[in-house]
Amino acid sequence: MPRAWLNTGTYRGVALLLFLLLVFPLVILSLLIEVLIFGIFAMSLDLLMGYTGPVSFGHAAFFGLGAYLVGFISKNYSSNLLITLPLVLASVTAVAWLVGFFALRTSGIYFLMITLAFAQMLFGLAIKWTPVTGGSDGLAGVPRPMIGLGDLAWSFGTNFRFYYLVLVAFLLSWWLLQRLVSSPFGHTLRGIKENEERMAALGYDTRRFKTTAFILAGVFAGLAGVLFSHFNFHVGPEVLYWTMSGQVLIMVIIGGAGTLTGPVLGAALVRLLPSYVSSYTDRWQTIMGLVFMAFVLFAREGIISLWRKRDRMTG
Amino acid sequence: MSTILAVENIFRNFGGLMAVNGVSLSVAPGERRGIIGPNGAGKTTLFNLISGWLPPSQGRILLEGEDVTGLPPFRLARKGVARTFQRNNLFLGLTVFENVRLAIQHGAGISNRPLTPVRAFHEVNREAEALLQRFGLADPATRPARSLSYGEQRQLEVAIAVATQPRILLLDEPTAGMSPAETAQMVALIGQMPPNLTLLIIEHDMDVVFSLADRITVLHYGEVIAEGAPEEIKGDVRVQEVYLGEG
Repeated sequence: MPRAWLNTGTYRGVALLLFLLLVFPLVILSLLIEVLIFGIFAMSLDLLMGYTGPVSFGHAAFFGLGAYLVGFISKNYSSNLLITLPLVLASVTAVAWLVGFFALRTSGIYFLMITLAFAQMLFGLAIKWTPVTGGSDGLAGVPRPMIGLGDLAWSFGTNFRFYYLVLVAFLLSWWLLQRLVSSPFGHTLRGIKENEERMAALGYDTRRFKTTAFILAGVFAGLAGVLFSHFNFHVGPEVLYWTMSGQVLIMVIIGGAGTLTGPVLGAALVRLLPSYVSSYTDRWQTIMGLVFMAFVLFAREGIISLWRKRDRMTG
Repeated sequence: MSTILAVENIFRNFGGLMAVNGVSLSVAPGERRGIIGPNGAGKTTLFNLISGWLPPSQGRILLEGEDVTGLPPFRLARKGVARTFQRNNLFLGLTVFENVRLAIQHGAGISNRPLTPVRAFHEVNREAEALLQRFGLADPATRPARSLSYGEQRQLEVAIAVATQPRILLLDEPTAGMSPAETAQMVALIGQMPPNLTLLIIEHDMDVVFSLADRITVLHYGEVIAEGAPEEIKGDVRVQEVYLGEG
């Protein structure tokens, strides 16, 4: 059964991850936090491009939207996650629904351009709407979040505590997405990616399913943005810029689209490599480019495929 | 005689080309209707019109008296109109089993279920297994559809359409490109389909058409030039002219 090697691959990924999660925090906590946040972000894009098909070049829109909204609310009103999360994720849902409604009428390169245009529009808004967004300086002094209910309150003020919040958010996202992609709904998405025309012939309202996937992808990206904003104590327009959309796209491609573990490994590589390489040379972007080219040329299915090939050979 | 599918005087042109030029059809429930005609007669275009892939330029399509003209394919599929494609149109990267299960799970109403693994829906999985058994595809069930032989892919093409439990099934050259043995197998499969299922079959293989159809419609340059029982069609002078003239 093909499921068997898929499972061993997945579990090996999980084992490696848990190992890293246990050991890494002692080494460089802040880097690990960043990897986990971008892991959520990359998985969210992969739900759309790896499982459903449409390739978005504007996924930073939802990441940035989450980051700005939570930045604004926690600076001015409250950093209580019980208040901010529902508000932010509901807003992201509404915006994603609206964008998806229009963008998913197109496909291929047109979809790519529309999503890019929408993200750049938000970027422009973030730069110009200074009273709310702080303009090109962004919003500084975003506090770390807390969870409070009446007299019971728990703050995530220290890096160590915040790390565990991010870890829980990551594991919960991974688990939810894992359930989602193996459910009938997830299989419907795979069918659409494989052959949308035939899905329609079978009675599937493919656009409705694609819209749902687009919204879910937006919501998880928004969650990642929320964490990113709290992590940096700051949110600036770069979270909405097209390079951010490009970066998450590269994470998914390098890691392996159509798997959940792959994009997380991609996120780790893309975020960790610069900090290692830059201690030897300034030209880390050149190295990054070469790595990307190597994957596109020699391991088109990403880091995860290196695993799977070995699985296939041994079993 | 009651009618399950009525096509009323439909037209469809592509630019200046009249692909379907005022065709009317009336199909009874459970009928096996053969549709024949030389290449370019408009047979596949007619299927595309009936199953919603193309809107007609003019005319109406009625399903049990309900006007369904211009509905998108997924709506027609939900109303029980299934089709196969002339060129295999499968989920090549998914397994044979997954291909069929996707076709079944929609009708089973579970396609929206987001958190329960699909393998936990035992009834749907059993149904998919039974269907693959029936179509002789049980052995390669766990292989990707891409790895099947052409003839097996052709069978899967029909199996997917049948899996939606349609009331009307449009088969677009089901035996095209098959070996004689595979053709015989396909003819047997189609012959065993439930008697209340209405079939429209486009075929070039005359032996196949005459062994399966109760009635035959002959198209030529987008028009119906003859319609009747197989014996009548065999004896029809115009039909003979069209086929001989073509060769």
